[in-house]
Amino acid sequence: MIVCSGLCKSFGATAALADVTLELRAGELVAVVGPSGCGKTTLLRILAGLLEADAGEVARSGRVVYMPQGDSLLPWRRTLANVTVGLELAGVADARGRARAELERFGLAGFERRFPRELSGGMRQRAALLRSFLAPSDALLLDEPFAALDALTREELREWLLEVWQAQRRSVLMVTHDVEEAAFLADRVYVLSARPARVRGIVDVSPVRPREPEQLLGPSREIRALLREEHPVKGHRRASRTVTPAP
Amino acid sequence: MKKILPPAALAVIVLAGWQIYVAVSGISEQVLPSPVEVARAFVDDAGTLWPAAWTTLSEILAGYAIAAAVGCLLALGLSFSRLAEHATYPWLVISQVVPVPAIAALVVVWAGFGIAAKLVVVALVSFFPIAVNAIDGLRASDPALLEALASLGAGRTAQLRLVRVPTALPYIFSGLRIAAVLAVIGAVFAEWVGSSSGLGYLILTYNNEVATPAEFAAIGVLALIAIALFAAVSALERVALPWRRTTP
Repeated sequence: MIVCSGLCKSFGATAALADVTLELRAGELVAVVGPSGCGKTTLLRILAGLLEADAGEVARSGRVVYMPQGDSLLPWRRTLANVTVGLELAGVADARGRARAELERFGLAGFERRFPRELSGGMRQRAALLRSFLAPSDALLLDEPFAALDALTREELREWLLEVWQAQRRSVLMVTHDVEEAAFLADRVYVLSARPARVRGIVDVSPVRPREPEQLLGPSREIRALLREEHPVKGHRRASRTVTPAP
Repeated sequence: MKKILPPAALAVIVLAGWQIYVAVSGISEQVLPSPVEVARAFVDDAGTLWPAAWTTLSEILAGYAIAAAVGCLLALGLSFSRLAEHATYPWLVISQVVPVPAIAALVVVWAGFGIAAKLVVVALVSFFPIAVNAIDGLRASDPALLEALASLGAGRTAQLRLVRVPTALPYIFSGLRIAAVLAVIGAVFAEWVGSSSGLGYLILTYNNEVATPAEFAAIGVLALIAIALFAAVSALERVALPWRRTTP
């Protein structure tokens, strides 16, 4: 769906991405984990085609929808009108009918006439996700979709996202700084270094779902080890490209 | 009711104090008429005041409408060209400091003593806050929102319609509220420098005749027009921006 290799990007003197190579295949749920401020958002914006990389290549097949951090709902539209924006822009007939059919699953039934500021944080996030899922696309790029939420809501939403994803089998690439979240959701986890970001390693997670808490321990440990720049741990493979360490 | 009560109480206190002061000090009604005398003048002169108020109100409304339309359209036009906007914006801001009486006198020279001159003056003074606020509003969009919409397939026009214009609306309404008050002042100045009707003309005439209670009554009507206009814009804003008044 999306393949990128050797992506580099700087903003003035600040290097955001040093060399990022990754791949999102059809129907996969891939997570990108890295320390805060490591350039994850820059990476997503490049993958979405909203920003040009200084070097490297991006190949996209099909339409890509990007969901920025924060809900990015239109404050002046009620829930139903918000979630149908993508359908509307694509000229899909009966956008409202199609959205109504999904409201239940996204926990928004009964709230279609509310404005975003009248919804809870979790609901706003679900509405933004519904908007992204409804928009005709082949891949979704989610930037920290649950970052602004409290721990309890996060856990709820991550389980719910898994259900939605399993039902739809859309290709999803999500950025997060929550290791357990990545281990719980993803088929594959790319671990990025601090800025400028490089892929420090890739962790493959067993395709069993839903995963029990004890099944998360192994992958979580590997991801943490990579984040802390420890020696390679059994079970993960190094990024295939040779990377120049950050100065 | 709770919002109306304190200012109403204050008005009663001030009016009562005024009345008492006039009665106690024995000041001439030609210098300072008491509220009761003003009220009497208001009733006595109603036949003169209402037609004059209507004249001034139509000048205000027409000039204001022109300003709102031109101001918003200009801002919209400039939003398509960064360069044109950069070239225009500072001059728009600077032009706001030009005093209204100076403009009014000049416009009468150019446009004559008819209604046209009044419309031009009212439109000129109310145009700037509307245009500047609209330009600011159209640039105030959240970049994340624009990117999210772009990714959902929104082109420039769709972004304008879905994000930039709705973002600008509260700014435009601020401009409209400021302009409502300025429009009233503009109409009065336009009538002062060249007119034979309207409240501004009436105020000047009463002043020359030292008919102070009637002058106060005319000023009162003018203030009522300004308050009504301001309230009407605020009410329109509440209707037009329902997402801003809802509470979680």
